[in-house]
Amino acid sequence: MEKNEGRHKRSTISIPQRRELAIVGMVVVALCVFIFLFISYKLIFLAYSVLSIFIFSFYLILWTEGANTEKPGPTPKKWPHVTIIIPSFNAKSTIFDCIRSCQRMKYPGKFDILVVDDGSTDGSASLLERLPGITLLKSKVQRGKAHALNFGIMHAKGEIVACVDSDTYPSEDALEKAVKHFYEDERVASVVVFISVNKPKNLLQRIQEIEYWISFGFFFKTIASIDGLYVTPGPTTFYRKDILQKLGGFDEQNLTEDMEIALRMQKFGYKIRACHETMVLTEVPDTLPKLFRQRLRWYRGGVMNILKYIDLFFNPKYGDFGLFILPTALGSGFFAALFMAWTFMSWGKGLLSWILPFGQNFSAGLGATAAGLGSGIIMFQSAWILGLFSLSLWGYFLIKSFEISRTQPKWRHVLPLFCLLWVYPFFIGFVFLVSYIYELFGVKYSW
Amino acid sequence: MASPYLKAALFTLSLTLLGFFLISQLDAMRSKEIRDSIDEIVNLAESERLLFMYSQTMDNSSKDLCSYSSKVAERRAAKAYELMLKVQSYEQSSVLDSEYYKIKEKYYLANMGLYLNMQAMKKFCGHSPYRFILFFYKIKEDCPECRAQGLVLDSLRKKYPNLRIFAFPADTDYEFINVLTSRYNIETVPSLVVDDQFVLRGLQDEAAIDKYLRAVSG
Repeated sequence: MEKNEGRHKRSTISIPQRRELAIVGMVVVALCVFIFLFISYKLIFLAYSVLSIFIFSFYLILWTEGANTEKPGPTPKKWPHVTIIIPSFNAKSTIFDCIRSCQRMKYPGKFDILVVDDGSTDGSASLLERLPGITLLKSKVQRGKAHALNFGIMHAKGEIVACVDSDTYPSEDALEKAVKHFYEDERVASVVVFISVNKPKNLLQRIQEIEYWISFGFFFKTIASIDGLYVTPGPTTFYRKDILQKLGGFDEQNLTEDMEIALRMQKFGYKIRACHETMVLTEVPDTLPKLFRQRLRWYRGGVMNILKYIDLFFNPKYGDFGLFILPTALGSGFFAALFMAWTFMSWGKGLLSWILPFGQNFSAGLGATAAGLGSGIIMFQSAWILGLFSLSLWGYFLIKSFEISRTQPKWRHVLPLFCLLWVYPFFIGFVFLVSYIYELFGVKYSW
Repeated sequence: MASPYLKAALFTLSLTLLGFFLISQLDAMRSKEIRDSIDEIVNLAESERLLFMYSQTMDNSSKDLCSYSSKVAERRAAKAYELMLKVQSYEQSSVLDSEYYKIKEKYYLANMGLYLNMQAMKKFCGHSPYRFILFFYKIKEDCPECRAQGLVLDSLRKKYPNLRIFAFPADTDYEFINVLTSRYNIETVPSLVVDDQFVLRGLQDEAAIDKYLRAVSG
C-alpha cells in the first residue's frame, strides 16, 4: 500500500483558514444581537415565512414541471464493468449483510466487489479474507474512509465505481437502474440513489426515516432536475472512475468527503444525476448522542466545504446551482442556528432573572422561566398564517416523499412526523449552532 | 416558457397577499373582541360613578349605595384583571393593527377609573371588603420578572377572593399613570403597592406579599 502512495495523485486540500471562519462567526453573532435587540421576533418570523414560501414554491414548480416524472436512463450499447467499493472499519455486525445484498444485485454486465479494510481492530479482516467472490484490500492502520475509497479506486477494474458504505444494503435492481443514468449525458460523473433507513427500530430512527424520505426523496429528486445536487451521499453513490481520478479522488482530510467531491464535480462542470426508481437501505444512529456526533460531522463538514468553495456561491457562472441551490442550502442551516441562538438567549434571560434577583425564591423564579417559554403560544398569532402556508407546501412535499419511498402513510407515522416537525428542528438547530461555534473556535474534530 | 423563479415569485406574492388579508381579518376580529370587553368595563364604571353622584346629590342613605356598589364591583374588577392578560397577548398576536395604542390607552383609563371608584367608595362607606394591590410593570421591553410577578399575583388572587389587582405599565407617557408612579416613587419594575400603604420593589414571592396583606387587614 505504501508503495502505491506515490502514484496516486492526492487531492490538494486547504483547510479553511481561521480568519474566514472568524468573519463568518462574527457575522452570525452580530446578526443574533441585532435581531435580538432591534427587530421584533414577529417581523423576523414573517420575513422568514415569506422566504420559505418562495423557496418551497420554486421547488413545487420544478416538481410539477418535470421533476415528478420517472425517467429511466437509456440502455447502454455495452454494459460497463462496475466495481463496488466497500470501505470497512470495524463493521463486523453489518458488512456481511452488505456484501450479500451487493452480490445479489442483478446486472446485465460484469461487476465485482472490492472490500477495503481500513485497519479494523475487531477481527473482521480475517473473517473477510475467507469470503469467496470478493477482493479484499487491507490497510495496517486506520487512515479514514476517504483514503480507503481512493485506495479502492486505484485498484478498481470497472469503468464505473459504486461506493457503498459497509452498513448499507442496496436493492437488487440498484446497479442496473443507476448505471443507465450515466448514459443520459456524457458529462454525468455521478449518480446518486434514493437512500432510506434500514428497519427503523425506535422513534429516533423513525424520525430519521421520514427525514431521509423528504431530503433524499423529494428534495434530491427536484434539485437533481436542475443539476443542483451538492452532496453525493456516502451510503451509496456511483461514479465514473476516470472522472473521479481526473479530479484527484476524494479529499482525505475532509469531514464530509461526499459533499466535497460533489462540489468539486459541480465546480468543474460535471453533472450529478439522481435515480429514484430503486432504493438503498442504510443503518442510522439509534441514540441521540450518536446522532449528535454524526450531524456535528455533517454540519461542520458543511461549513468547511462552503468556505472551501465559497467562489461558487452567488456565482452566475454556475447558474441555478450557484445562484439558488447553494445559497438556500447555506441559508437554511444558518437560519436554524440563528433561531436556536435567539431561543437560547431568551431562555438565558429568563434563567438570569431566576438566578440573580431572586435566588431564595425557587417557585417565583421558575415561573419566570416558564412564562418566558410559553409567552409565544398562549394565543394564536396572526403571523403564523404565513407559516401555515409554507407548512402546507411542506406537507405536499411530504406526501410526494411517501410516494417516492413507496410507503402508504399509516398511523405509526404520526408520532415520528409530529416529532420531526416540532421537536427535531430544535435538535438540528442546536447541532448547527454548536458546529458553527466549534468551527469558529477551531475545536479539533475527533472521529 | 416563464422561468420557474418568476413563477415562484408570483405564487409567493399571491400567497403573501392572501396571508396578509387573512391576518388583517384576524387582527380585526381580535381588536373588536377586546374593544367590546373594554366598553363593558367602561360602562360599568360609568354607571357606578353616576350612582355615586346620585347618592351624593339626592342625599340618599349611604347604606343602599354601599351594598349595591360592592355587588357591582365584584363582577367588574375580576373582569378588568382578566382583560389585562388579554391586552398583553393581544399585542403579541396582532400584526397589522395600528389602533393598538388607542385601545391600550382606553384600557388604562378604564382601569384607572375603576381603581379611583373603588377608593372613593371605600372612603364614602368608611370600609371596604377589598384589599388593593397596584402592580407596576414594563411593556416597552421584555420583562420576565414582571411575567413571573404576574404568575405570583394570579395565584394570590385565587387565595384571596377579595383581592383586587390593578396593573399599570411604568414606562409610558400617560399622565394619569405618571401621577401614580410619582406618588409611590416607582423607579424599578416590578413594583407593588399594597393598599396605598406599602411599596414593595422588585420581584416578590407569595409569602412576602401575604405578610403585607395581613399587616393591612390587622
